[in-house]
Amino acid sequence: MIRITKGVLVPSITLFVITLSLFTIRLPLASSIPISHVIVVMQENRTFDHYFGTYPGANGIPPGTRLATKMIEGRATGCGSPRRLLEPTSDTSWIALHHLDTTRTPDPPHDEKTARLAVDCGRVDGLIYAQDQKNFSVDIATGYYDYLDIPYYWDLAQYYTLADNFFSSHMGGSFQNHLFLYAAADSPASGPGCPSGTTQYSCIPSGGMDLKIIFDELESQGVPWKNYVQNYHPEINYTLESARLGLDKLASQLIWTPPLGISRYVYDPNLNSKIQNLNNYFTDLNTPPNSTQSGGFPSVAFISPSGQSEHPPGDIVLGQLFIVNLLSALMTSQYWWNSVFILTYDDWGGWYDHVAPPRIDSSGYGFRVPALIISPYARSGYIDSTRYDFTSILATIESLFGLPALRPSGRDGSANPLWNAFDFNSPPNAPVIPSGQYPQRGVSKTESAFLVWLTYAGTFTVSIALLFGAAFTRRRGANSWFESVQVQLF
Amino acid sequence: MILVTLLAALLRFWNLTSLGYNSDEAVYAGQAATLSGDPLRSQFFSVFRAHPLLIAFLISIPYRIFGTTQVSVIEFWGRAVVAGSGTLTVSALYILAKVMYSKKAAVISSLLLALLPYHILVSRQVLLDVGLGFFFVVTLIFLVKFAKTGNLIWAFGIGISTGFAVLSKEVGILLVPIILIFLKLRNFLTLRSFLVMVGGFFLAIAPYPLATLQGGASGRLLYVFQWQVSRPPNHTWLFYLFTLLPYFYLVAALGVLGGLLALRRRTPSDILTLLWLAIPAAFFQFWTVKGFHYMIPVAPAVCLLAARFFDVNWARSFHVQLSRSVSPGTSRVFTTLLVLITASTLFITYTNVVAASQTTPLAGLSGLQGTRELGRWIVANVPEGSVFLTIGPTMANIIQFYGNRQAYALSISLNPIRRNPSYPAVYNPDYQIANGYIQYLAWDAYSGTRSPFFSGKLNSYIDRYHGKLLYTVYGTHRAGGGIVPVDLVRIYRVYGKLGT
Repeated sequence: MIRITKGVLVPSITLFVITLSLFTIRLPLASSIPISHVIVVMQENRTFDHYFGTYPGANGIPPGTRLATKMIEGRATGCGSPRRLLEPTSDTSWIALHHLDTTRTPDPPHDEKTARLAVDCGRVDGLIYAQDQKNFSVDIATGYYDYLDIPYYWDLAQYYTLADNFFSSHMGGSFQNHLFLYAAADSPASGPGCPSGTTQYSCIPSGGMDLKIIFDELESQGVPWKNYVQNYHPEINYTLESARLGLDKLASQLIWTPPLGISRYVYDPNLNSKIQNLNNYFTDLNTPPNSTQSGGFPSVAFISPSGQSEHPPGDIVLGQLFIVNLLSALMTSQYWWNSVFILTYDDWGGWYDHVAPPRIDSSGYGFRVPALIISPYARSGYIDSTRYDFTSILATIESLFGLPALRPSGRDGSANPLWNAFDFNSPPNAPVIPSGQYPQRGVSKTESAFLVWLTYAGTFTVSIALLFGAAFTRRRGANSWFESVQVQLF
Repeated sequence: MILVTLLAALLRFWNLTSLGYNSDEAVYAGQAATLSGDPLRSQFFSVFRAHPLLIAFLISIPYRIFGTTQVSVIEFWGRAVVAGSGTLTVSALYILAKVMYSKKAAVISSLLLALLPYHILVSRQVLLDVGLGFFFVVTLIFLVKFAKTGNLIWAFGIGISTGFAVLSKEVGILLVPIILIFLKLRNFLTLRSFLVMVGGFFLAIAPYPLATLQGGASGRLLYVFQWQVSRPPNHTWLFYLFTLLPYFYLVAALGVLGGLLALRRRTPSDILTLLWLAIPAAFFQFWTVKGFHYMIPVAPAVCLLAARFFDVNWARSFHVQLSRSVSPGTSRVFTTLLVLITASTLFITYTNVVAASQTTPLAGLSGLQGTRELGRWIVANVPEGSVFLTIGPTMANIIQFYGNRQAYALSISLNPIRRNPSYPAVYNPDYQIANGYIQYLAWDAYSGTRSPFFSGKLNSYIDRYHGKLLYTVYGTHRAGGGIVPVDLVRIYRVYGKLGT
């Protein structure tokens, strides 16, 4: 019989409580994790295959992938709405995915219905059919980019961690996915002030959204945060009718910066003051941590892009430069050594991805999106295939700063934090600003130099050897092929 | 000979790496490092630039043996190979003078070259011209041997050595007219000897076309040629006279006297020495682009002529011709003069070249102050992959060599035939800074003095993008009878339009 003593019981209970705490409220690992700054940038509208489908070693476009140009809708069971399966017609032709020859394209349709057709109940073969329904060019939607077009991103993937199993949180578009990044949940695009019966995805009720977001948690715990907005216009928030209804391009600032759709972040001077123009990102990085001026760089920084978001028809080259600018400022600051910079994309954008998104609830996941985890502690050149989504970023922040999950039984409560992307046992990586010269790591530029060296070495040696050989032969006797002329000049 | 060679070596190797590399040295050493298989420097220094690769190849041998991870190792061996060839030139001149004239002329000429401030100065830098000068002297040894014996082995040596001279630097081809004119004047040029020379020559220079074709750089070499012949003058007509004279000191005057006497005597040896002096000197004088170190191949000729002035046997015969008597004091006067000149040259060499080089700020004349420190700072503080913009290629080369970061120069012309094809031009620098392609601006005093226009342009970018001064290299400058501190290099961080 086992005798339970006080000496055994107390430590056991203590250990149990600590373990339970770690799982439920995610106690910070701050004592062991040397990261105190998290920077999150969400760019626009790209799938993983669209950007990294041919990246060596990643789960990219399977060889021989082709899509049927003509399909018909059939019946299916067990598949989400629409409950149909697509079948190629007998007269279909097949299109292979191809490299796009331009860095600017029209904007492919990428609403939720189009996405579900493209998924085709998990067969992921309906992209052309889905885009055809919207009269969009097949040739564009089946295009992808590689290191020729996005060398900076491929460069970054070489030096830091690329996640190839990172899903957008929602099958829909920007509005819902940005909400998942901030709130681990979406918000119905309906309510007072929204047109009734519409399927509009970006309408914010006239009184603003009622949503708890990560900044609320950070604020309550006293963790410094900021939301930097490129080309920030404070007047563009949910109180601006055209933006609230998503009727013009002014709405993008509101959609990509969800706090501006929440009344307390518009009217509370303290909260509102933490939504700032992107210029301050650079200023703050140049401010020492204990500066009385602004307190230095915040612990958590979300960055909302503007014209350089890579959203078609915008030029992806400009988007890369935007990221390189942000990164190079971080890398040359003192904050680099305790930071992680997370770059991801808000939704699929209407592009191809071959992985069927797992169905975890009624709204997600959406297609895979590119994600790069850049930090001195990110595994260098590593491809992380852990399943993540946008709420994984929230889970990471919550874990790092000891915050409770926004939705303990929801998305961020069950999401995998990004820790697999890190290696805290090795010395930190020095910063590497992407130079846009992919491939460079592991590719020898010295092979041709060696051949040149050999050419010189060979000829030099042969010349000298011949000269000495001839001289030696000459000394040995008259049989030398060097005939002495013996003309005395001097 | 051994003592003279040791003296030459001492003056060329003493305190050899007290200063960091200048721009040209960085390029040649970087090229050699690339040849040796250095993956880091191969990112910034391509194998094929403006000149053949024999010297780079020779430097790459110790790089392969000792590695290129340590900057101090690269610096030492780069300079050591050149200093070694400078020292060997002294020994070779001894042999040549002995073959041409006498042992006394050999001792005096090699002693003068060993002490010559100009030759010492250039031999202490990673430049191609010292190796070129060495092969000049070796070729002439073979030529004299051939002229004396008629043995074709020496003709073969002439071809090989001339090829090596060309492979050191293209202007080695100036040996060809010297050789041909000399042999023609002596009526000693046969078809057989000519073919043997040509065979040796083409064997020696074979790596140049072979490696160029294999490396796919023939197009670049065409650009180099176009650029070289279209370069505008960079110095005045009197550049060599006024710039080099202080570095030749009294040897120049003695050389002139020796030259006049050689003209009067016109022996085969005198003719050869005069050709050796006149053809390269005339070429460099008429060539639009002038360089401090270009005259290195003729420096031994000047010393040889100066030595002839001291050659007592020759002096006696000269005096016999004039006065039919040689006073016993004449020899003593010449000996005393030689000792005085030697001592004063040694003093000048030591104070102005070896010991004083630490305060010499001009590139091309010596190493540069602060370049190593700048490189260390960049490696420690500037992220890999960062891009710099400089005023001119001088600082760009140094940043790439010591800092291992990409650097572009404002002053590089956008017109491909108006620039050295080795240097990439920076298109629309304003755009590149604004969009974050370029993150650092580097101003330096040397380029600022040479190119006030581009210095002003760089300063305008510093102002427009609120450049944050991160690092300054301080140096010293002689002014007002004293030494005053000056900013040699300033590094600024710019954040493009997002940060303004």
